Parts: sequence; structure tokens; C-alpha cells
Amino acid sequence: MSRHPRCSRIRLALCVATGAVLAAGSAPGQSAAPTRTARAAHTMVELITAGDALGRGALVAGVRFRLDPGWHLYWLNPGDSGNPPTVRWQLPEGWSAGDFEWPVPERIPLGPLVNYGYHGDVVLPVRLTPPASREGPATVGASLKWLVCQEVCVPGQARLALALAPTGASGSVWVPVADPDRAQVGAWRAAIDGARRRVPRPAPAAWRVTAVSRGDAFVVTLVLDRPAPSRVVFFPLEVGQVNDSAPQEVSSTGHELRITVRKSDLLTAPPGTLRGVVAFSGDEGYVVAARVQAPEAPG
Amino acid sequence: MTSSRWMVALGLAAVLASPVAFAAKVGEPAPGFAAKDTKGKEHRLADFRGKWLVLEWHNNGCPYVKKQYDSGNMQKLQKEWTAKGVVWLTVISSAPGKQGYVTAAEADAYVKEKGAAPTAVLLDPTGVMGMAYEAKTTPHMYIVDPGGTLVYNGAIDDKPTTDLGDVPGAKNYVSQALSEAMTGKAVSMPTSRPYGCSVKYPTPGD
Repeated sequence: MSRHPRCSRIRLALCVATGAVLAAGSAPGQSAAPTRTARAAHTMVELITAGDALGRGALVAGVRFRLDPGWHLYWLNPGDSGNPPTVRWQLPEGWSAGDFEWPVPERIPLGPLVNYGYHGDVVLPVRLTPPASREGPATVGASLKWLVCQEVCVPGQARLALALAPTGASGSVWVPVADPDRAQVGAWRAAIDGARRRVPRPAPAAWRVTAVSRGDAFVVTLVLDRPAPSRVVFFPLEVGQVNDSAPQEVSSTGHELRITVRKSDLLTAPPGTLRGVVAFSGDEGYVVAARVQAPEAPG
Repeated sequence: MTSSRWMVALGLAAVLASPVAFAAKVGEPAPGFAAKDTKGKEHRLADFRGKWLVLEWHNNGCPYVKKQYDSGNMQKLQKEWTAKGVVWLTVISSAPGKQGYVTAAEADAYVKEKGAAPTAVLLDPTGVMGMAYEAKTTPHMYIVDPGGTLVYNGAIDDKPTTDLGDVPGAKNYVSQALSEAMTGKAVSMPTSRPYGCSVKYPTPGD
């Protein structure tokens, strides 16, 4: 199981991979020069970097959304309504960007509907890889579009840019040109690290995960390597498989966890695989995938 | 089967004369409804037996709806398909005080101002009809065949954005489904994830 959902498995509308050119209408009234921070649609949005060197010269950056109280942003699978934020990168020659990493979301009820998303201070980490040549400074640009909703929904967009320069003996540590002593980067690193801790991990290899189609529900059974918690939320990674607003039934016995989720009305054919995040808490989530089996014949 | 949340929401609504089916599943009978239009006339699903029926969930303040109306796209669809005998009902399920809630006069004024051409606009302020169809977003589109079977449930097109620029190049799922179904072909895309703002149902405790 990969750490992040792969774009090819998820409808293009949700894909936030680098190089996925998303149709972007022209934005009237946009300022000419992108800045590192912007405010739009009840959000302060900014490009930040942890400033560390990762393996193979990659660095961890992030898009940070600070939402006005009461407003929420959407997860990779937004649930019943809404859309997740998207980014189109403008990168210097030789640079590449990974997908957004998505921390475990909240389940957000709106009357009879349910969305998956975030309130408050949200960082979506992203891995940037500079070329081996390490020529700097380099300006990384990001064209962002996002939707925030409270009672009503407001779309936002911004063009951000962050100028980086290589430092350190091997030139492998990239720091913001505007913050060469890394005073600000320390705080940014804390925010990015906090978000990365909350990004779901692949389920441990020792776990056994199975899924059965049973009438109008899927029953996901997990045999864990530890006592099963009693409070668990299943966040489906694919849209249109699971009924997002229906309550989930969770039962735990010893190391076994059983989660029953209603199927979506939009399902016209049985899905081959059910993929989702099993969240034990806001900090602890695991990506699971199981081929959906027909129920065993009664006997 | 339905979720308890839908049940709680329905419990707040007016008592119905007839039972309401909760699931809007393609291939099954469409959920019944009884709602008044802006002229005060009540319409029921059974009234449309023998006709193709489109249901369009609407909220005039939602940016996704504005994309369809400001571009003229929704009006164009309404004109094109009603000219071919399709009944097109615009449904407003916003609760009083919430975005998209309008009086009958306001709804008529909007239709006139936008040059829209639905057969009628149904006012559903208690959300009963919306909840019968489990309408999630505005827009959220449904197509019912002349036999009363639901043949489409989902998004209006394949560009789930608020950008007007995305309208011309979008594949319109409603037109596609109607073109196929009305000529006896199978609907190639009978469901899609509806996109838009959440329907502004009454919140328990309001």
C-alpha cells in the first residue's frame, strides 16, 4: 500500500499530483506578482518550508491554510459536498513536486449531510525535489484553488511563490531567501512536522484486513497487532463507494475490529477494492485496502 | 434503508400523507414527492408518468450554481430539453433563513431575470423532497424515465469547479443521459459524484 492515494486510482477531479494540469479559469483582478502569503475566502494561505534536507535532496514544504473560525476546508475525499484544494506548481527547471499529504480529517456533519475536512490551522505537506545541480536561488510557485464553507461556500484562489537558496556544506539544505538564518523556518518546521505526524500511515504488515459486501453495507474486519480500540472512524478514500452520512457501526473484541459502513446510492456495480483511512484518533490513522468479497454462502 | 440522521431530519419536517422512499437508486423507482410550485400548484411524481423528468436542485447563492446560470448553460439545457418534451423541475430545498431560500415571488423573479426555462420551480423549504432524493449538493441532477424509474443521479457535468471557464469544455452528464435514454440506448454514465454546495437543509435544533 502506498503512503498516499495514487492519482490514477482517484478521479481526476481529486488529483492533486504535480504536473496534473488542472483547467484553471482566468482570475480577474489577480495581482501581478505572487507573494508567499495571501488572504482570500476567509483564509490566510501561505507557502512554507521545513528547511530540512531529506533523502535524495528532497525538501519538505507545505501549503498552510489558516481558516477563519467556523469555516472548513475539504479532505481529499470531501464527502457529500465540496471539493478539496488543488495546486498547480510553477517550478524551476529540474524541480519536481509530489502530491499533497493529507492529515487525518474530521467528520463534519451539516444537517443530514457529512463532509470530511478540517477547521483552523491546516498544513498540507508536500515534498519538493530540486535537481542535482542545486543551482539557486530558485523560486517555487503555486497556483492554489480551494473551497471553504461554513453555512455557505466561498471559493478562493491565490498565486504564491517562495524563493529558496541552497546552503550547507553540500548545498542540500534549501532555505528561504528571505529567512537565511532560519528564524521563521523553525516555526514552519513545527507546523509541517505536526501535520506529517497526522498523515495516515500504511497499515502494519501484521494486520489482516478483509472486506465483505453484505446487503447494502460493507463490513471491514481488521485483525490488529494490538487490542482493538472502540472508537474508530472509517474515512473512504474513493468517492461514491460509501454513504458518507450514514452512521458507522464499530465493534471491537480483543484484537479484532469490525466496521460496518453503508454503501453509497451511487454504486452501480460492486467495487473491486475498498480503500480508506481507519482513524483511531485525529493523530493516528492507517491506510487500509481490501478486495471486496461476496458474503460466504450460508452453511 | 436509511441513516438515522436522515430520519432525524425528516422527523422535523411536516407529516406526510404518503410514505416516502429514501433511496434514489438508479434502476429503481424514483422516490415519490409532493411539492408546490411558485404558482401554488402541487406536483407529484405520479403526475409525470409517461414523460421524461429532470430534477435540478438549486440554490441561487451557491458558486457552483452561479457558474451554470451566469454562463447561461443551465438555461440553455432547460430550453433544449423542454423543447423535446422533457419536464424540467428546479427544486429549492433551502430552509428559511439559509442561503438559497426564496419566496415564490423571488423565485419567479430570478427565473425571469436569468431567462431560465424550467417547467416549474418547486419550493421545498422543509427539505422533505430533497431528503427523499437524498439530494446532497446544488446542483444535484436526477432523470426519471416515463415509467417512473430513476435513470440518472449525480453531477451536472465532469468539471467540479466554480470556474465559468470550465463550462464550455465540460461533458454534460444530463444531456448525455437524456440523449441516450430517449433513443432507447443504455445510459453510459448513470451515476456520478454530485458536486456543489451542500443543500441547506434545516439543522436539528433550528
